[in-house]
Amino acid sequence: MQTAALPTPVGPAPLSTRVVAYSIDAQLNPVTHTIEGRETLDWKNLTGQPQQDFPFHLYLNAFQPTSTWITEARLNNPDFEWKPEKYGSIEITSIDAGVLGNLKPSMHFVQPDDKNRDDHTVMQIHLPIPVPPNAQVEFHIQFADRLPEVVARTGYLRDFYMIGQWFPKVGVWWKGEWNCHQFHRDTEFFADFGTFDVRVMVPKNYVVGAGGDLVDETDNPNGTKSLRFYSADTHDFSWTASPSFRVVTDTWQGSAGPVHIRLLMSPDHESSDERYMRALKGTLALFDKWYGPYPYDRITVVDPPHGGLQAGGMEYPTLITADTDRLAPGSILFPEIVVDHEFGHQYWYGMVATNEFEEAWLDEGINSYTEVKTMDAQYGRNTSMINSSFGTMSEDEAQRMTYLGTPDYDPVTRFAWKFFNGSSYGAVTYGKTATTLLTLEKLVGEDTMRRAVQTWFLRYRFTHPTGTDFLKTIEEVSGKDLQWYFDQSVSGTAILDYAVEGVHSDPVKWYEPKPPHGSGTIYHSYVVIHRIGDFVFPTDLEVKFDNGEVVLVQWDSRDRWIRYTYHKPAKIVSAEIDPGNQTLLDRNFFNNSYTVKSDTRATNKIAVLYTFISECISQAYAWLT
Amino acid sequence: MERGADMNRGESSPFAAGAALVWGHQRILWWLFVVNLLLASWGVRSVVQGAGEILDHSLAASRLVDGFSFGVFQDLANLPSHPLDVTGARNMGIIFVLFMLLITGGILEVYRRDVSLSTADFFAAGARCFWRFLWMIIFLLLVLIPVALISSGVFMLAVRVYDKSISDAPGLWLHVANIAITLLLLMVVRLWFDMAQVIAVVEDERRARRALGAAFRLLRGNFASLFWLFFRINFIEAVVLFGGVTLWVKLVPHAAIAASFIISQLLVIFLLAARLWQRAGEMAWYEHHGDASVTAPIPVDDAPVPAYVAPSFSGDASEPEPA
Repeated sequence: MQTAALPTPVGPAPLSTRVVAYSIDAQLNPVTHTIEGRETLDWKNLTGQPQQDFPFHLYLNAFQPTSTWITEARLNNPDFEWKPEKYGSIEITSIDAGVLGNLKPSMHFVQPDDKNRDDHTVMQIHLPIPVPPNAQVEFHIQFADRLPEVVARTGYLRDFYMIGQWFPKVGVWWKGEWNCHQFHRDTEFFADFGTFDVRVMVPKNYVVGAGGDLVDETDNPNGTKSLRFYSADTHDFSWTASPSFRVVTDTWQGSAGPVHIRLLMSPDHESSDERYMRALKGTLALFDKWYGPYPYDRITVVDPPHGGLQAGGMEYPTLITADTDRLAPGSILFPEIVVDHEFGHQYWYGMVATNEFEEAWLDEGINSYTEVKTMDAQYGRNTSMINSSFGTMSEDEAQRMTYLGTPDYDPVTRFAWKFFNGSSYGAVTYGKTATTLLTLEKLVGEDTMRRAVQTWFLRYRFTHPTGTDFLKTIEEVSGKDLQWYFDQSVSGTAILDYAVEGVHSDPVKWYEPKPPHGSGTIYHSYVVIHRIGDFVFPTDLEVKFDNGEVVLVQWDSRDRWIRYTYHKPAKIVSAEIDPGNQTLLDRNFFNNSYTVKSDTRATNKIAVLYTFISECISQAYAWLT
Repeated sequence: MERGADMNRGESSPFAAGAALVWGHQRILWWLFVVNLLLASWGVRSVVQGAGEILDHSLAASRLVDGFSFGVFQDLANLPSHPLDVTGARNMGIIFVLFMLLITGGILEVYRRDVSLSTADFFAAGARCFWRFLWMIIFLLLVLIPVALISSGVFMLAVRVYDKSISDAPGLWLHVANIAITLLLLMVVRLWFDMAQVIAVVEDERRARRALGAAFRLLRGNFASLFWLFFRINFIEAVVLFGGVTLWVKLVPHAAIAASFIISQLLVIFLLAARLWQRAGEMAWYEHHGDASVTAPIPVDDAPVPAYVAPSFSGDASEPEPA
């Protein structure tokens, strides 16, 4: 194995508080799907107190039958299948801290989250003497990875390797204690910023991509090659390798300088080159313009091979994985959405490094919100997900649909592994957060929300902020007290649903034998709004009359219902709650309005479609006769 | 009454003669269409009613009219009242199968005799064949088992190839080939059973197994001409269906609901017509070739005298079964 012969690259002034400095040598064996690794970790004690115990993530141990990850997977889906190829492990063969001596005897596994003693995804070591504040300790670790067949975004598939969560990574001292969670089914990340100087050795014909700048590449006499990557102000390092990658490169000029784009495309996916590139550049430009500069000089997009869905749609610092298919229809913007979403994580997770275990909504949820905004801006408000001749679908509809799938089992703020199930985690963390923030635009305005998210980024990049910080930022930028809203939408599980319950116009002289209708007739008109759900949200009502008059009223919604009465020489034509359709949290849009005159066109359209399908199915059945 | 369709059936191709028979006996097509439409309409009535209660007075419905929002549609489907539940439509499909089972004998009788039957005669002919055709459905389901096994076997192989190959092309092409072969097999099976039904009507063969055996021999001896007849109509059907749906989706404006209805029903009529065309073509083919093909003995050197002479096409049920 090659040793660190080159000096550590020197970059510009640090952007982050660099707590860790990893130097790793790794050798991939593509026959046994294993990695032999040697790691040196310099850890600075910036905790303000002596530290003697250190937890480390050993996440490849998650892929074992009795691990917490598998246990949670089976809890979520009892039919979850396990096969030996999915086995993964990371074994510490030696660990020392220089003069502090061999630490292996003190090494033991801990299970801070669920006490599952069979879970070996977190280990802890004990130093013979504590590291004083502001001092530094250097760990030397030798480890051996056994990669699973690709699962949870790491492992191998045929000749493709996606190497993530693959080295011993120290926990984070946060809020006065170590934060180093076990590997759970739905979350992965929380780590300190620092530098990564990584050398990987792979067969000579392999194309390698990594979350760092390539600073050296040398061929070895044994048919392998060594590549050295360096990354600073990031909190994780992943890499990928395959002899089948086709490399597509381009450059995008951002406000912080040029960004070198590298697409590592799998065979047969040529048709997605342009789609990925356009989506990535468009998203880069919008993030740069709306939220702040992208400070890195690179971004790599890994396109997993066919069947590699488990490796797709994942974020690592300056390296993301996408997902496409040879037959991916152009009208369904799934490849674009994945690239957009995973790039967004460079901001929400990569730089604003929140704790995904405990507050997953701060990266997945905010990222889903910005995904809606950037996809809408690039591909059209109503066509940002599906844009076909038959029909359309927007990103916000997709997020709302996700939310409404399992809307009220869990609050947004729940620890990720404590959600009711995976559906609830996805619905609430992604869909509900995005829908909550989109609805918030109605209260504070779209521009204010953009400024709030920009402030959130600029203020908290390269730190570990919390949900409270985020909500306070919105209140500060908007100048509004929004606690009542966050209590319900973020901390609570209440459902928002308003309905126009009744609309009626009655001639004042109704008692006359032939009540006069037409011009000059005075009507008593009534509109009743009912708050069906427990979520209280001020709403507006637009009432249209048959003389063209439009009345707009606002209701604080504190009561369960309200009746509006009008005394006018005109009858009501329609009444509509939230006429701008901005309250996306509303569970049922159909009961938000009532038109006095029936319009059966939508029903007829559904009837035509369903009748046609039903006739065709009947004929298909009749094939048997 | 003799119809124009009988027109020199011996001289025109079964393909053209079949088309002429369908055209000449349009009443069958129109009745089938009406029943198909009525049953479908009845089946989706709960959907229409449920959707109507929600949509007819809601402004949110506009996004289903001026365009088609999958999001709004999904919202509608996900409502607790499940307004788009299609259980009723499925049940109507089963009733349509029974209806077809009841009238297929009558349809074939009309095409055989090329005359308009009275309603009573038509249904009597259908009823005569009901049980033998029901048995044929059972045999058909049995025959479909190996087809399904072959198809799923190749499917598993394709999945394996797909999983193991660096390129997805071999697996995908294997999937495509599997679909194509399965479709061809299904066509062959259907053609076989169609011919068995023709024989059952023409020869008044009451035993499904015998009809199927005779049809099998007939198909084996005349595969090319029969399959070409069957396949051509399926091909035309597929082209028209694809073209029609494309036209509907791309050219008919979203809000033009009447136009959508018309084009959808034209497609339904064509699908029914294509199936009748196959039936009529098969009957025409059998009338022209069937006697020699199905019943002629296999010549053997030491058997100069045929052991069995086919009955006439009159299909007189009173004739004794051949020894």
